[in-house]
Amino acid sequence: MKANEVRDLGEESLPIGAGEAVREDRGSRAWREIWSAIRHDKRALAGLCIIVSFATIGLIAPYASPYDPFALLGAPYQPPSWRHILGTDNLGRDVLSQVIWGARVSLFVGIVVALVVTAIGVTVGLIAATSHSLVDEVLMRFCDILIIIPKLPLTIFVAAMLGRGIWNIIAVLAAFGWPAMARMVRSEALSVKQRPYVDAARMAGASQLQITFLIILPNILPLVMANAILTIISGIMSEASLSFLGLGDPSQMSWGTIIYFAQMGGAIYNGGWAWVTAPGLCIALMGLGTNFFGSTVNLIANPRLRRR
Amino acid sequence: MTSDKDVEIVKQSSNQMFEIRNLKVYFPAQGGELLRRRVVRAVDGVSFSIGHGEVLSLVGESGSGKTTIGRVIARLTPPAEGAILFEGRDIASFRGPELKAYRRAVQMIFQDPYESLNPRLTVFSTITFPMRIQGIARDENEMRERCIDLLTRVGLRHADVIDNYPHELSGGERQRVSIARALALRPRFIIADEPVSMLDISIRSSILNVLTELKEQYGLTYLLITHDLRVAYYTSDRIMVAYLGKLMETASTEEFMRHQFHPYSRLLFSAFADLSSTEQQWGKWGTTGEIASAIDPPGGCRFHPRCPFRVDRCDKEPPPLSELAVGHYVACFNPQ
Amino acid sequence: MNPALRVTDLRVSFFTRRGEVKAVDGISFEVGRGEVVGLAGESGCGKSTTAYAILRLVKPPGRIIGGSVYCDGAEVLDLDERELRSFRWKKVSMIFQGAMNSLNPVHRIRDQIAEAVTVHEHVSRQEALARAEEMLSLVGISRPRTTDYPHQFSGGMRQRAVIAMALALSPTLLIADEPTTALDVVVERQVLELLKDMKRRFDLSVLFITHDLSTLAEFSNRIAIMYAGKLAETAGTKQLFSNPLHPYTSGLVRSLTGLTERGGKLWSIPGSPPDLAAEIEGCKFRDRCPVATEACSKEAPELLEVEQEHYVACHSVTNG
Repeated sequence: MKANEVRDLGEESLPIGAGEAVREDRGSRAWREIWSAIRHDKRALAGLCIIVSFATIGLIAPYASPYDPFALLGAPYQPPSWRHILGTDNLGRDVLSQVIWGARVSLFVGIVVALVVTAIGVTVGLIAATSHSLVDEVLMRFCDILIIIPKLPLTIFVAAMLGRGIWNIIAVLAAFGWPAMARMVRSEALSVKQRPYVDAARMAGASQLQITFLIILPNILPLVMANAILTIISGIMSEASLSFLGLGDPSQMSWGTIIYFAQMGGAIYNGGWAWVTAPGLCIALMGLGTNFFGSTVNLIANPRLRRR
Repeated sequence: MTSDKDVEIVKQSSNQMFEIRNLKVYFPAQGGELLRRRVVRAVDGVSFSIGHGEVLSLVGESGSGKTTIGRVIARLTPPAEGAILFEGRDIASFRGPELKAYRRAVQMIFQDPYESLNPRLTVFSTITFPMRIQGIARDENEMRERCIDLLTRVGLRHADVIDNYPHELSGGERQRVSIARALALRPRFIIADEPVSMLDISIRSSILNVLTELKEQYGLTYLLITHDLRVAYYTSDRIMVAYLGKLMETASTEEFMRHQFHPYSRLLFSAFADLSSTEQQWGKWGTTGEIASAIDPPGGCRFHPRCPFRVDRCDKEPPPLSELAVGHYVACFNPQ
Repeated sequence: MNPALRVTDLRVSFFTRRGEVKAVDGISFEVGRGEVVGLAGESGCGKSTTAYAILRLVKPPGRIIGGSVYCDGAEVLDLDERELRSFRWKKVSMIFQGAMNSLNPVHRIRDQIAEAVTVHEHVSRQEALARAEEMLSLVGISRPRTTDYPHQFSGGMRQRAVIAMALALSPTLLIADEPTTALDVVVERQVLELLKDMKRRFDLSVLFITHDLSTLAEFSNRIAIMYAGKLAETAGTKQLFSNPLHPYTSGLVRSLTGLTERGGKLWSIPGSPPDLAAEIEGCKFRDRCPVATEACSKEAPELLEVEQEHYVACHSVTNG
């Protein structure tokens, strides 16, 4: 009920000193202050740790991995032991090595997809927000179409047509991922455009291009970054889905392909429980990490929603 | 509707810095019935001039069109009809270097101190941004010197604020930074859009003082847009009253304060208990009535539905601006 | 007679990374039955925080750390959840800064008020709607417009709707937090007249919070001036304007009348309010005070009665 709801104290009603300090608690937009806020927020910090851990594992995979993931080493379907900490798969390959290399591949896919989606999304979003309304309409209708199309069936179809390479998968995921980013960028950019400081820049003689890149872009960057991070996990999961359905790249050992092989190889019936759960757990953990980190950064970096 | 008489009046006073001729600004309206294109007549035929070195106040409530007029002069919003002449030349025709020069000459101060500074830039970057865009300083050092000078002129201790972000400053400090930014290009004309309405009463006077001092120091001309007659009274040479997109009355400040002809001006005047100690004729009347919609404005005189002095003619045709006393123009069929 | 509100030594602090910010540092005042008390001060002095504290709406990192709020026979700071719910809106209601903060954009105005009624009282929906219509017409909103959405109302009308909502349950005390800020002067006048009318009609007690002393001049019976979390002066309205004792108050009063005189420079208080996160010894106003002495930097002055019903917290005044 409106009357009983507790409202956020508007900054203007906070006492001097408290306003600034509370604003620091809620974070503000300068980078160093975002970092300081992250440092003090347990969730964000935990998320960051998880992401960084996986990224590190992925980076040093060649050194961290005890064995070659494709090497046929011993007995199949071995349960976890000291030699094979996560056991072996149906061909006798070490599962732990696979999972470690899997981190590398999955993260690679996630990050590349996030980069491409961000690059295209930001470009299209900015163009839509700063161009003539006709251009804006056309671009947004196009985005709408891409968003409405049922993604998984179409992704499956396209992936099947293009074949099973890792780059094809990245391409497909990026192609369907950018419209959401574009929409968000466009709406943020439009809201920034309304602000008087943009008018002030126009009065200084700044061109549309200067305004877009010097003013609008920096002001939407925190939000874009938060969303980009969330796109990483979405990319990883989409890739896992595709691989699970058999459209993944069998020559690359991603978490998704591990699950695929596990399912194909009847892991569950044959005692290879670590084989099927380990990659799934990794995906889930990575999801948790990006969620913690991404959503908290979003909360911190989001500009004040309302004035007095 | 064209007011030839209005344009005539304006033409008489040549040698003005600005001549605004029959300005009309329309915006598409949100919603409305399916097939009808509805239009907000924000400014509907306004003509006036601004002389060199004068401080002209444009007074009105929200919906009067005053902010829109300011934005058109600033070339932030294009007019639907009419012309703005700056030193005799139509600003709509400015391109390239001419436009750049216009941008240097004409600057604006905005209402909201919390939204008029880029939150990602320090005070230094904000103030030097126009300098960089226009390329008017030689190097970083010169820019820093200029910045320090500007901050001092607006009454700030530069060392305290120059490398700070807007959120670390109070409302009054931010507004001063806004003013410093407006001065960065050494303009000749400043449009101040409600410069103090979002500040505490207790600091309004200090900001107004700054504006007045700077006028002397820089030889500026001001268009001060406000809904508060007190602000207009203190700072301006001349007052113009706007209502629903049209001008109701214009006169020198002293003239205006001594006697207002237009009923709406009297309503505004009476809203200030401290100013209107001798005029209490509004009483209950002044407490009812809302400003009408600019999408479907009343026919004839815009103010007639609320006006206790209306006569037959008032809903048939809009009254033209006529000179009722020297330099005192009123648009009313039944001036008081 | 029991006062409508008695606040005693209220303390509210914000616990931030920069330390404890003493937003409200021990203030005491009363609002008598049918009285209008103005709480005035610059932005950031703690007046809004006081209002939120009375309704126990202070959110973390802020916390009420001491004092008492006694209202209509109950100690507000001791109420439990259930009692608090019936306290809010029925005994004390509030008009917040910015009408749009109180109005739900997706519900019709009339429905929102009706909902407020049904949540607090056991009446039928019919009755609640009738009450809502009645309140809205009292504030000058005609029948056909009661079914509009907030965005269809102008700023002034929204504020009036908010007033109707706040008074729907006939509270004893109304807290108005900057009700006329951000409104055009003509509309501001209308809203003030409306508040006066409502006060008369419902015999309300009002705590009126503002930074604009001039609006208090004609509406309030008593005024309390707040500075940096403490009270600087309280007195009857006429007394305060004709004889402001605290240097801050006289500064405020002076900067007001300055706005109606032409020619010469407008007067304003030099400097700006202190950062409350920093520990300040003695009187918090001394940096801006024209009559500050040694004593002022050592000890914070207490609020003492200097004349009949006229309290000041200032060494220069109390020590002669």
